[in-house]
Amino acid sequence: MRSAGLIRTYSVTTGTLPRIARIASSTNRSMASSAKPASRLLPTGGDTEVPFIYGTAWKNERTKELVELAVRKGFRKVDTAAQPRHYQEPLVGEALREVFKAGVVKREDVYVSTTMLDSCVHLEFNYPSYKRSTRRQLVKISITCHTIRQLH
Amino acid sequence: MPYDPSAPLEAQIHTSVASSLKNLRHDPDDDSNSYVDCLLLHSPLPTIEQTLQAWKILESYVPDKIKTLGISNTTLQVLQVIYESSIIKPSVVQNRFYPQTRYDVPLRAFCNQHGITYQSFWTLTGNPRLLNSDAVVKLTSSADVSRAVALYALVMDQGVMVLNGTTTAEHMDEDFTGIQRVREWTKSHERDWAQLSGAFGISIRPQRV
Repeated sequence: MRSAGLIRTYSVTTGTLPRIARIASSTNRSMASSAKPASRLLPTGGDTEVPFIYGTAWKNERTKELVELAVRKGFRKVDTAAQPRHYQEPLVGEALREVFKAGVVKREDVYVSTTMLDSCVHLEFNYPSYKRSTRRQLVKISITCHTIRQLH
Repeated sequence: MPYDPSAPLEAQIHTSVASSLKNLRHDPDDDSNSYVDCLLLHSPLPTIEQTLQAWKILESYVPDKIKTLGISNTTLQVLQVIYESSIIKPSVVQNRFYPQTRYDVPLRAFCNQHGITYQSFWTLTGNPRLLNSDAVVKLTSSADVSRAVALYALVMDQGVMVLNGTTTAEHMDEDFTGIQRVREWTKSHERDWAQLSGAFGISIRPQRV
């Protein structure tokens, strides 16, 4: 079988192991920190929802159509923000009211998350990103004061 | 932003929450019964005192207008202080999942121990190395899914809920059917899956970047 053959020949790249071991010991991480959290891909106990949450950043005027589409395609969680520079929260609301009205889902079937107090510094820069499309896009990235402290 | 940045913190928060509840109301004609399932602080504020002050104000909305609270762009240190100081404990952490935070391994362990959902963003964009990792490449061919789906599946297996901002119907279909395909594949290839999952776990262990 093609897949089994591929897996059998698999081995961990040995070159990275000593380095990882060195760093792990030097940072004295607790055992609890290295325990693998419970899988959300293969949850125990009957939860079959795919653990995606639909992100609505940088959708601009397409926000409404895309959120409607996302719910129709199976997303049951939507993330937005009270930050008009990157998110169109009013259009997310419009989209949700449309799918409620159309009977696709009820309000209680959807998890709606929003974010607030994005009041720190904003920068825009090009990031050599992985894209499914061939076009490299300008990615706007909101960098918080906190992140900037980390970077410096 | 839907508030005056120079206004006192408390006024900014009340104004912003009211605006979000109005924007996200489910009844077109009435926002009195509007609620959100989760409200995230975008990031820790400049001081921990301000962060806790903001959290305390948000707690006053729970559970009627806001069901749960969370925080984005946080460190484990700040999360622990919020957790220990709050009445309404954090339910969600939403962080960029990328090498610069060493994939938040200790933070994610804390989330797991305390029932906090860890949501990742930048999962594809921030991880060209992982998209080319052995585990992703092998899962892609073995389960017959895209590399994006393979990475999503391996990240979800680490206990993570994934932000997905795709803008095409095709990718939405591909992502949902792909995850289900990986789930099916794991059932008939338990040993292979255990190896892949383990190898991926090692590839996101702390490394210097």
